[in-house]
Amino acid sequence: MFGILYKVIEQLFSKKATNPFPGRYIPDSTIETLANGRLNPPVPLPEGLRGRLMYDYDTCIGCGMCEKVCPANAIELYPVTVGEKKSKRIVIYLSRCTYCGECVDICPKNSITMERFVFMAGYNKYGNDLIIGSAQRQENEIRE
Amino acid sequence: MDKTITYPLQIGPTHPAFKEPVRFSFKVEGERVAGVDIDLGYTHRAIEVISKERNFIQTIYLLERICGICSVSHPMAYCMAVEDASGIEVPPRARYIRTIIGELERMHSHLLWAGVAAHEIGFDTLFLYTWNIREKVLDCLEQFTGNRVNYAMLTIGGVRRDLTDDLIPVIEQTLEYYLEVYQRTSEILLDDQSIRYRCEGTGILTYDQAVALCAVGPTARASGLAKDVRVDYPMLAYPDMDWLKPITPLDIGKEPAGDVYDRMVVRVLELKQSVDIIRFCLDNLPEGPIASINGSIKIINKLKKVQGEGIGRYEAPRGEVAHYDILDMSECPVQMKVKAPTYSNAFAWVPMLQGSEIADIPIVIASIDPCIACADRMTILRDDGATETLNAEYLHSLSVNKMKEVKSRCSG
Amino acid sequence: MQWLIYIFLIPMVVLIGGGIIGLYAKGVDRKFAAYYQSRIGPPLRQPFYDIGKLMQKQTIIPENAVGWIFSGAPFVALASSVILLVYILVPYFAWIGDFNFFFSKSGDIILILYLLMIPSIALVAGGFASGSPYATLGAQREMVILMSTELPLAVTAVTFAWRLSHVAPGASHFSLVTMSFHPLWSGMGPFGILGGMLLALSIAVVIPAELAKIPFDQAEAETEIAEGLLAEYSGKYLAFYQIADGVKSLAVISLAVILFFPNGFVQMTGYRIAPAGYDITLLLDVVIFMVKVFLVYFVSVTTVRIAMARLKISQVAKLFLVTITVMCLAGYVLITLDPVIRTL
Repeated sequence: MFGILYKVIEQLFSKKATNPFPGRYIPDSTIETLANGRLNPPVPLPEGLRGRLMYDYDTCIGCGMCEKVCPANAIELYPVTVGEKKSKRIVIYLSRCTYCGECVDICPKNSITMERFVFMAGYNKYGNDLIIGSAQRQENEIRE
Repeated sequence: MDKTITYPLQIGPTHPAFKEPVRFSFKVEGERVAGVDIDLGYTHRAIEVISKERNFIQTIYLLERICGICSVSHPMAYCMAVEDASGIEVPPRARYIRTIIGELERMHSHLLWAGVAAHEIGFDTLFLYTWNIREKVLDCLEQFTGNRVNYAMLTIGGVRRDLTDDLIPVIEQTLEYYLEVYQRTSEILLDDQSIRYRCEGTGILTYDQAVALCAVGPTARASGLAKDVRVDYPMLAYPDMDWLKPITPLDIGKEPAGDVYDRMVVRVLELKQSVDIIRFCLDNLPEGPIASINGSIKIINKLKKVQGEGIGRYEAPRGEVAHYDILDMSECPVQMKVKAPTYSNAFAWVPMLQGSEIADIPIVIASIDPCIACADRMTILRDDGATETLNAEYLHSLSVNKMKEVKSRCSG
Repeated sequence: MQWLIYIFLIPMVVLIGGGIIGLYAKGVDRKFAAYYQSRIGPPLRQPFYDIGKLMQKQTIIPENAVGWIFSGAPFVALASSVILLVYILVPYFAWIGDFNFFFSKSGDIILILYLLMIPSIALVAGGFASGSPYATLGAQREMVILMSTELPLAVTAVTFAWRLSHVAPGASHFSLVTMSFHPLWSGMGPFGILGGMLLALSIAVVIPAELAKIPFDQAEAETEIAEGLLAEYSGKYLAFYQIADGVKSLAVISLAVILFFPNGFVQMTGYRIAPAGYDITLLLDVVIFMVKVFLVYFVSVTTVRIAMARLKISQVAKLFLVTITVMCLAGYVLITLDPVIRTL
């Protein structure tokens, strides 16, 4: 009993373990709050964090190995034409992704990488902001 | 007034004391439990069936998500099962790294359990304290593997990330921190009077009951049954540690009573043991490759040519987890079976709860560190809401038929 | 006609004032508990936000509940808590400020002890009327706690009255005003002081039980019986219970303060503060009283509730009926023996 009392009295005066929500309370105007820089700093991210995926459309060769190993079936192939030849490119559905990093490891051209970025909330699970490579897909996909 | 009235009390499927859905039907006399029935099956997700449609690499990540806390134990047992079936060797360095990951996970799981147990008896300060010091090992794991849970570290035949030289000091610091706080933590958890009031003498599982009900892990060890897969079964780096032995309350000179307090003792002592094991692994980390086959596609291609069956056993924080896999010239496991520790320990709930007070129910249920999501293997759904009891003969005939089917597929 | 106005006005004022202070006390309690637990914790206004939210929510009456008891209980709890606070605070401040007021001659400790039971009884009635097994269990537990804390409280009251019959033979012995006029510690020998400390300690243990705080929150035990008594309450009724809880905690702690540390500024220093002819001593006394209340709250509720686990109901009954009662009786014996020993 006295062990915990000692500990709690120590904790009463020491730095708190929790950190406040980035925005203090619900602000009247979010834009104004952000502009005034009143945000509480978020927790720093460690090195080597498996965060959001980045996809390099140009170096991809469309081998489809990433699709094969993806455990969540988050990667979809679609047909494109590169020059004269038919090839394939991918889109990644972030809402399905489990961030295991298998696709990053297996990619022979290092077209898929992971960045240290974790803020990926969105209103629509399949919205364009949560699909990596959706812009290139709209541009290049061959539709029948 | 000698007539005692029993009335039914349902706890679950959702209840503040449970972290996962499970239903208990009690018969209560006043504050005393007169009868108990357990109803599992509310989180059945058909993992074993799903795994048949995913290739060997995808299955690792699927199994990682059987349970969020032992997210290394299940893939570890699975990888060992597949390696057993296919004869893929694991390089020594990978074995050591696997051991380190597993022990770090055990530390965070035991600290998490201590917090949950404290919350069940209304001791929220202790709950927040243990979860606060648990942050340190989670941070360490995050730096090491890139994620706080679901580490994605294992692959068949090795590990995916190396323990680089700049990571070793991070782990060393974490161990240093835990040795520092260990004294205080064990004092608070084991010597606190109000915890002793609540935990001593509640939820007793005797040695004989533990043997008869096949209890595993800390639940069995607290009853004095010295069994630990890490010691009993050669795997990973554990055979190199001849000093390793199962932890029972005897280690602090206490006769094992098999109550909740003893389970706490075992888990607290295992924290220290994990620190020692990780120390050993860091000191004796061998050089060499971290995986015997490079590239997931190569692994799948190799396993495509394998026919056979394998068993993997690993000591999860909650007890023994065993995986059984059948490989049959295909890129998916033909058949797999998961035996989770809670599956063995769930039956121990009945003798523990019989005769206890209502106030003891949450802490007794939490004391085996249940992982319902691991244990749920079957659920019966009927549209008309009819209930049905499956008897032993029916289940036996089901398994016999299933085995025949699997065998004919393997040989044919 | 004046008494009619007073009889409505004073409880109204006490309801609003006591509600606000009681809820703020709750906020302070939560803040300090959070600090103890190394958390930042909610803002002090959080209990008000909670009440505000509950007021907007739908109030559900379970199908198999006894409707009128179920919906009547929160009001009874709130009303009796307010009356309790009126009978504790108004005579005390009338005495300290030395003025005559409507309730100033009331405040009998026996009445207060019975009033103290009514919020709990309302809770129990509401719990039994909920028709939920959890609430029934919680109600049973609340009854056990209620009955087991009764004995120490009664012994304490009798001790005070007995002592007053010796110290102030002419006065009304069960009146709170007389009790605060003759503080327990004045004119006591070492035995009496020891007995008084034993009584104070047992009351400090009874306070968390009266307020249903850990380690004596078995009736509401979140992880065991899912908030027990309050399991079926929602919306406005739950908000009323929360306000009643705030008022009652203020009342119980005020009672402890008045019994054991009644002295105001004048009694402590012998001066009155009157800058520019206005006597603000009463204002100062209110502040001093609030500080005392918060200190007692902090020591006997906040610090205890974060440093202990919830006990079992059997252990609670044993603790109060054996340990605490024996402590109270020992205090009683010591206090009664004190004048005898000093005359020897």
